[in-house]
Amino acid sequence: MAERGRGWARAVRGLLLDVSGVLYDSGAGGGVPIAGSAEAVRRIKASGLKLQLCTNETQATRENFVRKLQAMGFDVSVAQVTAPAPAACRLLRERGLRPHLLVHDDLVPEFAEINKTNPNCVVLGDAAENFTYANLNEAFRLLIGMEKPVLISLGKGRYYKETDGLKLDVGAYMKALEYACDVQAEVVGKPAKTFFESALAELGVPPEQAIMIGDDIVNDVGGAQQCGMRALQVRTGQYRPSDENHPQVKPDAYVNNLAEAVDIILQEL
Amino acid sequence: MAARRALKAVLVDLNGTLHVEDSAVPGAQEALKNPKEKHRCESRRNLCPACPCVPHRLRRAPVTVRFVTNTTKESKRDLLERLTGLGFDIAEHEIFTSLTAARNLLEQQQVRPLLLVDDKALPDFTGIGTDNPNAVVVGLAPEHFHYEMMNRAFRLILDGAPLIAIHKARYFKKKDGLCLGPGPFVTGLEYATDTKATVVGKPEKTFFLEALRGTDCAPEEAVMIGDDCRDDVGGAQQAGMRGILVRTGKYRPADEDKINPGPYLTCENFPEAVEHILKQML
Repeated sequence: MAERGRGWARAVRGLLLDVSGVLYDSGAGGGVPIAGSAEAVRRIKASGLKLQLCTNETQATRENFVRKLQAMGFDVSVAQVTAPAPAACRLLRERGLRPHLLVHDDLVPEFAEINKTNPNCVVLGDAAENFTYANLNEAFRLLIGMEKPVLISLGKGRYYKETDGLKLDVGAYMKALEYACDVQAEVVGKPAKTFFESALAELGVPPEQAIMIGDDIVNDVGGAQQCGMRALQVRTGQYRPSDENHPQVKPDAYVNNLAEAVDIILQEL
Repeated sequence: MAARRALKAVLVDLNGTLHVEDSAVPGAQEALKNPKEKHRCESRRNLCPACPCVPHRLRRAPVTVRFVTNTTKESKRDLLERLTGLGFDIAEHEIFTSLTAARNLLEQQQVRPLLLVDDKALPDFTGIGTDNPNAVVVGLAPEHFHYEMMNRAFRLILDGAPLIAIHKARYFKKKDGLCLGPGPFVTGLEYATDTKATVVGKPEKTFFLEALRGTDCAPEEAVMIGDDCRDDVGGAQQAGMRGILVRTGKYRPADEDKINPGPYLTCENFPEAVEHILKQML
């Protein structure tokens, strides 16, 4: 696919990159970089293209997340990360919402400044081991007890790949609580349009001059295309061959990995 | 109503219909009993609707009786024990539950399940191989609904294992408050794997059809008695049976209006339903 016609690679000024499954595969010990991706990030930087990481990562604060990426050899900074937790904090403040958090322990510091007493909404992130029956039940009881339940989900991904296999993502638990309480969650993070728009604003490039590169056919590719961007799917991370027959979403191109995408884009500059 | 074939089977719900929690519905044991020994009726007929000497009793009629219930925790043996303790004349083979339905499905598909069910339900799966599973069965099992087990189930389903749900209840009530049922966890797995679970309990059509298996009786020749308008009556009627709603258990006024077409009949309780069957439906 990448070989057939490279029109998609022209007139580009900035790239949005998904992180897990594109730069590295997460897992025990922090995960492992995907071959060639650290070098690809360096080449993007050297080329003068703008770069922003657009991630639904909710298992760490941005500071710790960036530290981890730097340790794996990625030359990125905190300002280059658009992540759901800060976006959720903005939303909570704007609407005067006090959250009950069902999130990963390492994400809690992102909500340090937010009033969490007497909660009137539930914020759901990729809580991993914190997704116990007891914790889900606690969130459920709070929601079902609210006159108008407010469930905010940091992303709605179905699953992602860790070094020891595929893992359920926050979307599965979001759907569980939606079904239990008969509510519709508000998604902060990909594929929400507002989230891509804030990533583009931070990138400083209009949608028609930006390309999103991700491994998630629906949340990365579909979401970005909804915002008027071009989008590529990499054949790494959670990619499965059946994605290429997806009934709704068709990427502008498939590439084997980030390195291949960068090769083509830089050739067209 | 169009002409009907003769009635050959009666399906009876348990909790809410024969008994409510730990008390039998008044007169329900009698209505069910086979009064062979005590009955001195002169009539030569198989049954005697007008007979004044005994209450009308379902087991005197030439019909097969099956007790059908959605359960995720209680094995048939547990149910039998409880019903016998309440004075009901019931045999184990007459009980058909959502667990039985799941077991039948596993046997038909010849698959080895990862069983996310309560330990108490395990006797109903005795003899089913579970090594190297290639199917997932979800009942009500809070102790199994944790991150690691959910991931295990998820990966099996993504690799093609069928997802079988005992039922999809959203939540249930415990003394200390509401608790998540199996439905939310099934829904989460469905979403993550982009598949649909096969739900085996009431009100699924297959549940009612399976309950009749081995009875040599078509759905049109069966009637279902229950207190849940949607799950008992609506489900049975969707499967081609007639449905009788009883005003006991979870029944609330105007429940009849929850389904369209409405119940074939609404009765005060199980004994009244039996009386109607014996007088009008045979």
